[in-house]
Amino acid sequence: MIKNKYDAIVVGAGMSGGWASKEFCEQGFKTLLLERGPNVEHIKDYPTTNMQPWEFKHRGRLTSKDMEENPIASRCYAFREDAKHFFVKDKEHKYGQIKPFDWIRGYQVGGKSIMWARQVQRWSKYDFEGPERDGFAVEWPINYNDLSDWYTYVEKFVGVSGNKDGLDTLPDGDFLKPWETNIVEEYFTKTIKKHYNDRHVIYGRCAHLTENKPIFLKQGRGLCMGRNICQRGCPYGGYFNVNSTLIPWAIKTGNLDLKPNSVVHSILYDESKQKATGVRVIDSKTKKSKDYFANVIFVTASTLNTNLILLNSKSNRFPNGFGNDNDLLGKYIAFHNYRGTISAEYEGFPDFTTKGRKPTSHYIPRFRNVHKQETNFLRGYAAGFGASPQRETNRDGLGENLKKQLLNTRETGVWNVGSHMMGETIPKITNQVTLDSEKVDEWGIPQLNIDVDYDENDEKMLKDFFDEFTEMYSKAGFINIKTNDNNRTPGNDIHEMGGVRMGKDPKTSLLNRWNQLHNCKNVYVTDGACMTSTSTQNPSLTFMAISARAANHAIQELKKSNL
Amino acid sequence: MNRRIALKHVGLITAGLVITPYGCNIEPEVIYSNLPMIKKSQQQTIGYLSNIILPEDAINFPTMESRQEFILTMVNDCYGTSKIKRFSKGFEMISTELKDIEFGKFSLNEQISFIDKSYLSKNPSSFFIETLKKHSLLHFESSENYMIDYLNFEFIPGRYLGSVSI
Repeated sequence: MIKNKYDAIVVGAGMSGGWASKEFCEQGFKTLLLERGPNVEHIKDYPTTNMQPWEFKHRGRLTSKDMEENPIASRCYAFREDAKHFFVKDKEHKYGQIKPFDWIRGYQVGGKSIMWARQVQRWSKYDFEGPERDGFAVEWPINYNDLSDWYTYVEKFVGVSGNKDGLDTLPDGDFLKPWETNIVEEYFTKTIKKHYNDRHVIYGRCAHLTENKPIFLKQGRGLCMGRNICQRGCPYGGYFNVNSTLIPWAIKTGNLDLKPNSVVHSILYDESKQKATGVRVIDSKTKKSKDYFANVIFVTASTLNTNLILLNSKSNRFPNGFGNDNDLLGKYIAFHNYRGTISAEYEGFPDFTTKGRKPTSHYIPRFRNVHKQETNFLRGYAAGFGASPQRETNRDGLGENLKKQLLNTRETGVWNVGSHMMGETIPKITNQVTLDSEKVDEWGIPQLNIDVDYDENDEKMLKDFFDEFTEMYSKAGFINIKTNDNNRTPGNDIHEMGGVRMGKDPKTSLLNRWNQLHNCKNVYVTDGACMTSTSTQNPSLTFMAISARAANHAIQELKKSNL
Repeated sequence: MNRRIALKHVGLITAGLVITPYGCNIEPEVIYSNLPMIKKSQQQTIGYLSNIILPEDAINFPTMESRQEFILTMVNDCYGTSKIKRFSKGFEMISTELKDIEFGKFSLNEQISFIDKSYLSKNPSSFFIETLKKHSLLHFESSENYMIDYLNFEFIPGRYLGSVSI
């Protein structure tokens, strides 16, 4: 009997790996879930979750030491005093930037599912058809119909709050009730509907519990309380993260062996059996190496780490990296263009305000080039929309007068409105990651070099976003409209994808329609690395649906002894 | 909020108002690693000046730490090297001026006027005063009672109402 042998090994305890593990464990398969970072136990390991704003030593600000030691992570909106402990320390996890790239990482059980923005939208048929229609990347080997049931499956388990909007560009899901819309969001929605046939302002679908259902009670989760400090971890389990939901669920089956502090060095390949047999792991604390074995391996270490592991898994069969017969591994990396923002004011509802908080705002699905190519750029962008009452506080002067002014703070009756762009970028062969030939990290693993950049298509799309949204805002009577190119570095969107893309042809892709490596069927990749194109939607829901689908395929194959 | 902490702060403020650089020895000395030259007496001066800029109100708006502790913590921890240099230089300049003019004998209005003049000047003391004011405002506006009573802050709202008449 082989020691350290499992039915399945899952690399990475984030969104995708969490799902694969849950599926294997539920079906009775002994599963080893490896995570390079430490464990984060739901509630117990959320140190700041119940801290009031005035209890923070720096009132939420970062120290200069935080900024110096984490020049990249500190550019992330969620890297603040209350949640910085969930991000890697940049100085401990170096990488090469051939071109500037913000690689934002969360190395712990739960990964970035602890700090994510919880926005979830399904892909539509138009998104899957994009590469074939517009002649970029390669044709997806799956379409919306292959994934729709899995979206439902995931949504029911995770809990997604949303409205049924009836749009074919953004299919409806299995939703819990939405949070209330505010008066300006409602007004803008109606205004856009009046002026445009193809543009829609809808409620921002989000992974928050707004209703009690038996499944959530079984998970031990309660309703979202609108605290909007989700990045700290939620003691109610009010939003979905891996720690509150998937890990405890898998543990309860008795089939999960969770090993944090386990850095996967490479995948082991047996030349005679022509299959992967396991993984080599470096203990992150002791630096000792150990091999684990399984019939099937899911590599879900988050996009760029998945690429790194496969590139580092060399053998006589795969001298250029695991499964890399076509030399495309690590190439066609893409991301989301988040450079454009627009802000304005609205004076139309001076007698109204809001009470409480909600964890989402509104969303405008892609409307450019949906049914045919119509603009001077390929693909398009979605956008958020938010509105909030403005507050005025006079901080001029000194002394008792200043204090009196502070006590006279008031809402002005004017509303602040704004949108941010979420643009699809075109995967290109020149956008790639490679292993450094000399530098290694403290675990002996080659450093990753990242060579990814914007292109002319992104610049044209940005201009279009400014033009179109200025027009939309003007039609709504918004004033003081300001557009801004925030010059966010690629990667700062935290939606990097690709490098191990799915496709129909092994000559031009790495994975088949079931997310198996074309050239090694017992290795699956289901995190962002598998994405052939990016579309505009927040990708995590799609990662989860793909992972659940692929895991169930693997389970069927295991039952038939095909793997 | 802890009444004992609040009363302690009232005591400190009173002492600071009456005497300037050479305060009493109730509190142990706190050393700020990036501000080693700012000793206890100078720390109390900072507290004294910030109290003129924006009067502390430990009874109605108590806080976990004193105003001077907060200001010095924020400068020490969150300012980079060049800002700390500017702050220190500005404080040095102001301290010299305060000694020269016997600041403690000024009326409150005269003290405010002096600080305002420094704030509007183009010399290093302006940055120092600006820093004091900025962090005094942050300290006050992030206090529990201010946030709850004046900014309508709720830690666990449990609902969102989108169209509430003012």
